[in-house]
Amino acid sequence: MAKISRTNLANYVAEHIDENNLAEKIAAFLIENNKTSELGSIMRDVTDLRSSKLGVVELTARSAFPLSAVSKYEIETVVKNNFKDVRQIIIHEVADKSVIGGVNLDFANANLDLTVRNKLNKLREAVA
Amino acid sequence: MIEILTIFGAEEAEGASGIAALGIDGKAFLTQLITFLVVFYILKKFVFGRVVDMLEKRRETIEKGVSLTSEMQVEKEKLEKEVEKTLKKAREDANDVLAKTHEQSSAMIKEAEEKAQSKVDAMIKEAKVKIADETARAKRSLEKELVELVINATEAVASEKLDAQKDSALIAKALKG
Repeated sequence: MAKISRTNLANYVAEHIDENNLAEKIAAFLIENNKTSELGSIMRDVTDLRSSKLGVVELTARSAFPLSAVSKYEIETVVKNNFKDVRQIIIHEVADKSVIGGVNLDFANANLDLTVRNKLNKLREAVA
Repeated sequence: MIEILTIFGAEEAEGASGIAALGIDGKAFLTQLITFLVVFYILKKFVFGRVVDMLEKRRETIEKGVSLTSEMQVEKEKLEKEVEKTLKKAREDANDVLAKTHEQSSAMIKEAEEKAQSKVDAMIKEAKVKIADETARAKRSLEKELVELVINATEAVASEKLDAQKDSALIAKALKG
């Protein structure tokens, strides 16, 4: 595979996301070019591109309990209100008891932390 | 006595005439007169002048002494006045010196008192600042500990009391807020 920039690579991945052997190709490229450390950045770029070009918004929702249907609906509403031309919303749920309560929404280039843990941390920082 | 001389004179007068009737021998008188004149001349020539000079000198000496005494008296009075004046001035100087010394000592005492007071004020101020710092530090520490306790308590209570349903309500509230 020829040398390409991170942006071009992200574009390529976003456009060929449905191909079966895409993951192997990306892995091979990163290893060959010694850019494995850029995997996180590339994936964020891919997610961002998919959001802007295809209207697909991916996010990770971290909560202490499994999200209820109501919670998912509320999250999707927030996403639709903050992103343009949203066609699809993909929520990756992660159970994390350390957040105590609430939810942490992690987007490609943004993070919305609505957890009890975050509020307590902010209170702690305010006093420190 | 007068009577005896009168009788004697009368007896002599009875035995002479002229000057002799008076009991006076002319020759003897003349001789005595010449002798007297000679003696007088000699005395005047050689003695009277010296005596007069001596007396004059003595008089002058006495006058000088008297004058000197007067002068000395004047000088004494003058000296006494001078001494009195000097003593007065000395007393005044001494009083001035005492007054100045008193003023200086008072000023020194005042200055020392002011310095001590300012030092005490500075120490009190410093102590107040330290106390305020310590109080603020203790207050911050207490606040921190209190908040930490609240956080820990909240964590414990929330972890225990929250369930899926309450968490869902919490998420909805947070997303809408």
